[in-house]
Amino acid sequence: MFRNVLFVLLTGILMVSVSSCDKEEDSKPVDATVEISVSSNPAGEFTYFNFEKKALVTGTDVMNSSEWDFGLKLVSFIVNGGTDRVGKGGVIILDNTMDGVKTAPESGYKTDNGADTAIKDEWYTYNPVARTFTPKAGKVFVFKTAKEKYAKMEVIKADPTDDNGVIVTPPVIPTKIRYTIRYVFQPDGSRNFE
Amino acid sequence: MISHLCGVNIKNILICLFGFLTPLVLMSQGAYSDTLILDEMLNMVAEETVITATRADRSLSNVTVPTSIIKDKTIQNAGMVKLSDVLQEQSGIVVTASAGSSAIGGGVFGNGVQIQGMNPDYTLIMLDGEPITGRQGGVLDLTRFAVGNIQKVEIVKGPSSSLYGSEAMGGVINILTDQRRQNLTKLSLRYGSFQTWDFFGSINKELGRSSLYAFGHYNRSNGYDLTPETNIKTIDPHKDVAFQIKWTYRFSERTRLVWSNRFFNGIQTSLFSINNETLTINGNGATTDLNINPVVYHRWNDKINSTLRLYGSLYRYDQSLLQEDGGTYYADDFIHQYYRLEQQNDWEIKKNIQLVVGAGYNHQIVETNRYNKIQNQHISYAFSQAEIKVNKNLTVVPGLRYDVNSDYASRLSPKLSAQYKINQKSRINASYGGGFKAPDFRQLYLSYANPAAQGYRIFGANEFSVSAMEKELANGTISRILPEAYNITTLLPEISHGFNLGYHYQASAQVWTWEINLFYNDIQNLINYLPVAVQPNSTYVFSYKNTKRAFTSGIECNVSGLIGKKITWNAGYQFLFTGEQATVKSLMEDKVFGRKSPTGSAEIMSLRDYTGLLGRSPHMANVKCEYTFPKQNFSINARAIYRGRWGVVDLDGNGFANMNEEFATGFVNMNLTAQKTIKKIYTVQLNALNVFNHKDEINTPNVAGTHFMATFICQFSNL
Repeated sequence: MFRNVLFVLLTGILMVSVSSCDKEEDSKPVDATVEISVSSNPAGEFTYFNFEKKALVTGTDVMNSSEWDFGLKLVSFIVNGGTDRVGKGGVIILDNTMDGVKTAPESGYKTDNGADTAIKDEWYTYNPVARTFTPKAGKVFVFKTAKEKYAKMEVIKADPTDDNGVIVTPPVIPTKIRYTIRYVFQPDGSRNFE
Repeated sequence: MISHLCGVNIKNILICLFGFLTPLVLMSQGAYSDTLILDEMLNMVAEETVITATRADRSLSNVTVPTSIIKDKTIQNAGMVKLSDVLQEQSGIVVTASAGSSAIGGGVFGNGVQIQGMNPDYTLIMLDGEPITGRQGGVLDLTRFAVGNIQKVEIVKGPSSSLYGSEAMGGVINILTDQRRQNLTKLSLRYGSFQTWDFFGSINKELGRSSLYAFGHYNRSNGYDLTPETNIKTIDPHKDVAFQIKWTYRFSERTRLVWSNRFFNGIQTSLFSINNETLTINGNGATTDLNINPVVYHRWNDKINSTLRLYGSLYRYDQSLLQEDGGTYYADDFIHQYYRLEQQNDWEIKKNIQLVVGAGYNHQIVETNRYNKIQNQHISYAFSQAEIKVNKNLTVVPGLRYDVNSDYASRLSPKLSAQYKINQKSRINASYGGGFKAPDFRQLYLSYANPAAQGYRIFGANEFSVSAMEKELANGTISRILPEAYNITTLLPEISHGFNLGYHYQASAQVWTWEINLFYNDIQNLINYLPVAVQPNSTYVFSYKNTKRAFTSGIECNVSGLIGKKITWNAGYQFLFTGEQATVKSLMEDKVFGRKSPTGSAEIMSLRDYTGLLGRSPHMANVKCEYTFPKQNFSINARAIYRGRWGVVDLDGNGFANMNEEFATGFVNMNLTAQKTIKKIYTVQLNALNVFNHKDEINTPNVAGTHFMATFICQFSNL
């Protein structure tokens, strides 16, 4: 099954805009901002992301692998942990700034268990007039990855776009949501983000 | 010879009187002109009263609440066509343009009015004292009203629910149509940019015991497009017609009947394409408005007057947009019937105590494709107000009104206002008023599913039921019920407490006048839509609930004066500070987050970052000036209206604007008019509007780029 899982690096599908990542020291936390385009169709496929590899995970049956940490579709966010998942991940959402979260909590990570998903709608507002989802500022997602490392993340933007990545407004119905996400990943497995 | 002398004397007297009253006239932004002919001066002298503030004719200077009057002369001299043109040039008033779906409170339904920083829903707009119906998404479209038949517009700021009930939270605008006893025929023809044609004609005729007033109006325009690169016009082409017939019959010195009928029909035509311009959509939106309003006035004796008013109104908005393949793209059919019976008595109990008491009953019927069934609503009410002159300087006015209705909680609205005349030149007004706004029809009865793929659904509070949601949960059409669903209950009216404190000064040398008014409005039980359940596709089911509390506060100043005999000027400024009390508290506790740029990380917001409610400009100003060449019967009139930047969108979920991308930029709207009158009968007028060419399709679609108009007016006595 893992053979089927293919890692595709950034170009085209995933654009990494920024980040301050010191290459000399592997154990230093990685601070990255990425854009991820996901399906806006509620019946569509999830898009899967791996924090450590800073990459989308594609292939068949990705869902049932422990190669991904965070999955997105429209405004549904899933984690790789819980009764339905292979990984050992989880998430906690904190009301804070990114800089304000200096260490990941020790426990209390929520997982996906059937309809009871770890992440619900606490992180966005929906404006039915403009038909836009607005990520709320000050929501920090602290992830335990599928392989039990830690990352903190904030959703900065959610732009409704067409297939070519052009932002659309009503009455045009978007086919994609392009998320701008900033995250800090700690490769050494510790809960410390500094 | 003798008669000629008499004439001169009367004229001189009138000029003196007029001179004395000039500051008053200016204060109300009336037009001053040396060229005014005698009968017009008489009119101005006679018109210096206001009815809206107290429900009885009172001299403007004795009114205890912030009140202003806009006269027909001002409207005509400035070359205005629609009510929205008139109001947008007034101090402290913003004409708002809303965009978005009507299902949920936006509405592409035109221009509303913001007074003292309150939403368009919170200003009661009346025509000859009767409420105008036909709000779409809470907004009453001001472009529906032509100005050719207006004698004056009275504006009362601050809550006045103690007299008028629901909607009179931010203020009351009363449009008074022509009621003059005269024999006059007036014709006006106008042509302007965007292929705009405007024609109106009116006749005042005295026939024994009767007075007749008839008015007809036609307006058409191609609309305009502020963004020609898109294939959707900013303002669609439209065609409007309006008629009014008002008949006054005097049974005796004591009794008269005024019967007014009004009809309006407006059609706008839409044509655009969607899906990368592959699918053409076209159709019409038709607005029909019919009012019948007989009123009987009777004077029992010197002390008691009674009024009986009947009012029936039918409003219909029917929009149908079809796809070229025959499918329906959008359909909205809204019919609102409004009937009212009201009886009012004015009683002078003592020389220094005037009492107004009245009661009424109103029945409303609403029918639309967005409600499950025809909805009925009844309201009964009683009101009372006393005007007590405590001594020659102090007047106190207490008032109370009680509204009982069928579909939401009842409401008691108090009011207390006072005036203290410090001396001949200056006076202080202070008032407290309670205001309320009944939940509107959509908040009670809406039952709507957005047809788009991400379709949300929305239910009025009276249509929403948790048990229906639970059934849907079992069926799988709903994936989760949110805790708020269990808190949806009978809606309470939105209420406000408003405080106004004003100072007015007029120099006896009639050179200048100034006034300042401080206001604070505390608005509670604000009704908002909120998610109550999640659908399988992650979109929501919404309903309505009383949630928020907000305030608007500020200072309004107006100054007016004369320079020599040829120049009249006035200037106004409003500072506005608004917000939500809960947000202010959270900000002080460092619990509010926001971004400084759309791509930045969230930061903790401080009170200094707070800009209050969206859609409010902290700074607004206007300067108007008229230069008259009396010998040539020629005048030039220039008005500059500034609206400072305002928050329009929330991109970071904290509810207010805190980054540049969340604001609309401020602008100046500059309008110029030149007018020449020939032989006191013909007037030719040229207008250049928005000469600085401000354009902002998203935030001010109602402001066209620079445009021009030419008008020809003919006015003669038809004796």
